[in-house]
Amino acid sequence: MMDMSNPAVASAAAPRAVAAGPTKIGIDNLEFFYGKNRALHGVTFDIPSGAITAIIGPSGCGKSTLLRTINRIFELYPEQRATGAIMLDGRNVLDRNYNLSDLRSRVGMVFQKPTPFALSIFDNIAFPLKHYERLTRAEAHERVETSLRQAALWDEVKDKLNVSALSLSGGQQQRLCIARTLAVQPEIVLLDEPTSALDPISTAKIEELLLEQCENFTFVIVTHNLQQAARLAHRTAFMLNGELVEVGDRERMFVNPRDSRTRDYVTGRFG
Amino acid sequence: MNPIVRNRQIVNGIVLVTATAATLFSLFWLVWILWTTVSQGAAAFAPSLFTKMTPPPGETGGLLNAFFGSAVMILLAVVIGTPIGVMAGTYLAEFSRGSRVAGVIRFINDILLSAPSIVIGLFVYELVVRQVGHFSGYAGGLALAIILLPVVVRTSDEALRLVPNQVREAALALGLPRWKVTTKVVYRAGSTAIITGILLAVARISGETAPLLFTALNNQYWTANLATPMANVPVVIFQYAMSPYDSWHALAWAGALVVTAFVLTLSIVVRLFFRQRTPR
Amino acid sequence: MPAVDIETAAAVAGDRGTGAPTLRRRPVAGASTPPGDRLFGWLTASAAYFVLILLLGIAVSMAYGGRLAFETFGWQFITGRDWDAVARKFGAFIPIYGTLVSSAIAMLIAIPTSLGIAIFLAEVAPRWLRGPIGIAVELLAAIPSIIYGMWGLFVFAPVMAKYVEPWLNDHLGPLPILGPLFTGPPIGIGMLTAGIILGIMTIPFIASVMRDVFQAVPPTLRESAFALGATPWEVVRKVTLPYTSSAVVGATFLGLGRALGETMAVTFVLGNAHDFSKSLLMPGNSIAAAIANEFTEADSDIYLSSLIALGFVLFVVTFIVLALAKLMLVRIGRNAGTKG
Ligand SMILES: Nc1ncnc2c1ncn2[C@@H]1O[C@H](COP(=O)(O)OP(=O)(O)OP(=O)(O)O)[C@@H](O)[C@H]1O
Ligand SMILES: [Mg+2]
Repeated sequence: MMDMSNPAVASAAAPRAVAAGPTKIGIDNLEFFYGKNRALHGVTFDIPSGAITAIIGPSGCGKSTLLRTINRIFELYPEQRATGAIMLDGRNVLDRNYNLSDLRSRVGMVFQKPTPFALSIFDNIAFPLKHYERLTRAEAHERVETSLRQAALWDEVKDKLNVSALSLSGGQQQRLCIARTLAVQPEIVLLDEPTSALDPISTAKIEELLLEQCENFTFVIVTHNLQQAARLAHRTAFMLNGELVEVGDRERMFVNPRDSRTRDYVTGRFG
Repeated sequence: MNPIVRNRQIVNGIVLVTATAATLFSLFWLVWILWTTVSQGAAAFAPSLFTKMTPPPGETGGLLNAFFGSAVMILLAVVIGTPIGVMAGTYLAEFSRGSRVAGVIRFINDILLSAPSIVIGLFVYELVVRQVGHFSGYAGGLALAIILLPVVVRTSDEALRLVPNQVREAALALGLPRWKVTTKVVYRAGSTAIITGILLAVARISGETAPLLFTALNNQYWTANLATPMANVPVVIFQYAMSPYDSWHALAWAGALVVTAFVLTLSIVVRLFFRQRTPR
Repeated sequence: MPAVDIETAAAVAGDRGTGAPTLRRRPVAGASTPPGDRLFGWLTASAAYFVLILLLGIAVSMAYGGRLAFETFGWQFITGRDWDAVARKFGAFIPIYGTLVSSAIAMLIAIPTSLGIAIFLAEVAPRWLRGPIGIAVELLAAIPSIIYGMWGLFVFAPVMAKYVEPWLNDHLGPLPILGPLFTGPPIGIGMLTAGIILGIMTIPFIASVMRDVFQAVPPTLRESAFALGATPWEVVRKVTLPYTSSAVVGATFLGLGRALGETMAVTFVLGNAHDFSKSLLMPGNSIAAAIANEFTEADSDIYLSSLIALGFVLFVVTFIVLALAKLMLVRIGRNAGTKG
């Protein structure tokens, strides 16, 4: 692993101010259980709006678990449950009464492995879109184009919108999934290692698109790539063994971590 | 060579040769039966098979009404059995994670899958024919549907369980309700396997005779009225083969050839193209 | 890598935080409301429970349709040897006996053959041959049973009458104990012919399950035995069979369940006789064949009821056999049972 305190690396990205908009998501004393197994221990921290928050930490520390509680996707599995509070604009999304469809329309998610549906490229985006809005054919087309452009995929697929999405390359599929997520205009987008299965060029494209779009969305990205976190994130949270160890801006996390465990991790002294 | 090792080798050789012989033994029957069907059927084959109705003894004719009746009843079975079967498979694969009931239903479904088809015929007789007072194409289609159903339940259950959860998660994460996720996304992802199951089920019911004997019965004439007894290839083959007339025997063989060719072609094509195993 | 424009980002972030999200849309009316999900869940659940109800319905309707026969004859229905439509006296011993005996003959043929095929596919056949042979064996199962019946009646029975049965008469007939099984006129129609055809039909059902079950044996187990110098047969006997024994028995039960209920293949060649005969060469009957042959001729309520009662007996017996088969197949894991 690279030494992130190396000034050369640190200065690779342009300097930036501490980007902390008002709190979008307030996570409070979150516990998560896989059956009897506890995977999160009292996680508490805030995610600012209109910024990129990165979650880092060694494998198995609970990063994915944390993301999966925010949009309650874990509820697909009856044996999994979460306690504590995740406040989204002042309401606890873990509340039973919180409308799931509403929650998920506000909190989109992109997974590690591309998950295109067995539909055409166009329908991959238009189908979820039509669930929310009544659109004419032309409007739908326009929205599809917009989101494909946002995801930097338009030029590559504009001539084959009716081709099966499964025929795209892995990197293209992932950008399609991002486009699909952006198309329904969520406020928050959760990304779980979105580039870990991709080549450097596709990765660069996706990073670019996150930076371009971060003014329109609140991004929460899990990544194993510390440079990526350093390049992208306004705020970074470090997790270890289901606990949140430290959270702060890039300067604090990569140059001057307060917790020795964070320092060990970002300097690569960790396993 | 060490005599113990040699003896072991000899025993091994005998067993493996026997195993090979057992395989050849079963292939021998396959070839014999197919050869008989093809040669007898081809000898009796004529275009009039598809243009004329089933004849009285001694006269020439064809099996047009029987082919039509079979097609209609198979179609009816698919129309009735497929939606219920796919829905039941959906429940098992999508909505009953880890529940006991699902285990029981799978168990019962597997038994239904192997239940004697003549009992299904009796059941439909009791349920429909006796209540209505006469045999009918509807009753025949229903009996076939009951035979098709468990095959479809089984294959769609398995097909849907093969769809990775990531697909469901990705669709749910977009805020889509579960039913849309299932019908638009998960079905799509599992469609090949589900269709395979339906085609194999069709192959299975195409040759079924016993359940039609006292539901659709038979009809010497053309009818498109499902409320009346209906001719169908398997029962015609049965009656003609059991009859003392050579002309009827010939027609029975021709019908047998068509049915066998249809069923085997369907089975082979489905297997080659979709690479899935037959449930039975 | 373009640097992020932090000022803009922060400014927009501030914007988003204060202003209400203006882009929020409501889902299309009704589209995402729980009722849709509830309805769909309810529909699929009903379809699944329908399978249970169906099996229950079959059992109940058979019992109900056969109640007249059971009430009239009691246990005599099972043990009685008279099946007399004119005298309206029905005892099903002959068909029940015929079902059991023809299935037993079928098992005698099918079990060793299937085991042989499974061993052949696991240890002898080169990899490229396994698929085609597997498909060929499964085709035996795809051939409609009525074709077996016709072939049996027109082709196989004459061969039995001409070559096999005279030989059995001459060579096995004189034996003590076994002899009576093989004496009788060589007419080709009868229990032995039916049993053999039934056996051929059953082979693919048993063989394909056994093949799958054998494939479920962890490769490391087999490999470690081979590494110790075991011959393929020793691997089968010491590793594969012990590991799969319950599933192998389950496979045979599955085949037995099929054989017991098979109708068309045996109806042609059994001869529909209602007289008891020890000889396997004499015409006999089976439950399924009796129903198939006589149902449309049944001219009295008690006759009809007796035939449905026969169906009930068949249903109960096959249910038990198939249930046992399933239970034994469950243990080896999901894959092994896919042939259910
Ligand atoms: N489905 C599951 N059932 C039981 N335990 C699970 C499950 N998924 C994850 N866990 C456990 O929860 C803990 C956190 O897992 P999680 O997937 O959140 O880690 P992660 O930080 O995302 O790791 P990675 O970087 O490898 O993706 C791990 O100890 C893991 O073993
Ligand atoms: Mg993870």
